[in-house]
Amino acid sequence: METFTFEFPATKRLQGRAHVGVVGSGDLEILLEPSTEPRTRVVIRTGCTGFQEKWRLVLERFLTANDVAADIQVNDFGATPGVVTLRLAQALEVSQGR
Amino acid sequence: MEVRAHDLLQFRDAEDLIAPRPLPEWVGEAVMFAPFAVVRRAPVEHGNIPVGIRGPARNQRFAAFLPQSAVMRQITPVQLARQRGWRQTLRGKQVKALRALDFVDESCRTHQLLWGPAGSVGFELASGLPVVSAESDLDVVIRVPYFLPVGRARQIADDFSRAPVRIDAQIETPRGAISLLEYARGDMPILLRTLAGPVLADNPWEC
Repeated sequence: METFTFEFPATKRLQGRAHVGVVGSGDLEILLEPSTEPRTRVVIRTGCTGFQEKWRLVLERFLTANDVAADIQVNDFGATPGVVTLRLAQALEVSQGR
Repeated sequence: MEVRAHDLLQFRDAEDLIAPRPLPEWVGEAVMFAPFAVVRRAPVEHGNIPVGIRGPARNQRFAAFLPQSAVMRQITPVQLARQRGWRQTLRGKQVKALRALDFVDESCRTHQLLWGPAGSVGFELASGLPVVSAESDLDVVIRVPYFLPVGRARQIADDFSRAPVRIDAQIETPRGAISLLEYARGDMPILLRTLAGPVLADNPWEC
């Protein structure tokens, strides 16, 4: 098990919170909460070691396209970058009350 | 030849595998012990089937292609469930993930659904190699060609929650696969894994 944290600058306040995804192989759980500070902090816990740089790239791409100040907790069970990006989009949709 | 994700393909040796990079040493060893590949959820390319090779460690997975002509035998999860091989072995009584198979069998029979084991349990039942450990979850696929009401999914998820191990169940629709647990929550859209990659879907049965 490996845990790492990333921080990215952010300006827009997130409205609600969201909990999406499942505990299961090839999947992940995401907990998204509004932050009062102008940044997004992402804490990742994963069983697959050695992918820190890939995570940074996936998160950077998503957060560049979606400016939200949030605290994000990720529990990963070997999800692919495609699944990670979709789950982030899903969490954002849910937090905006869609 | 029609193959679906999670089918197990028996082949001759590691030389049959097509990969963009050299095979890691462990792949050759793994194939020597159990010459089985797991079909991945990706398109067949020029008669080459997308497969994965399982290594002894959790993070040892190798993606490759297997030419259809190299396939000696195809074993589907549904066949493994029909054969009920776990009832004939001592491990079937001792190892939790194998003992949990009867829970799934009973629930799916009640709901008249076709199902089968995948992951390490499917691999062990097909190959005979004891890869299931005391910590293993039970991965299963449930084939559901027509719309399944969320309430039914919830009943199945409730049944599964009483098993001795965590059951990671994927529902296979004609469009792809969804997680039983996520679908049973009733929130849409949900993650649908298709041959072309994952998408968010409001109705995983509707094309």
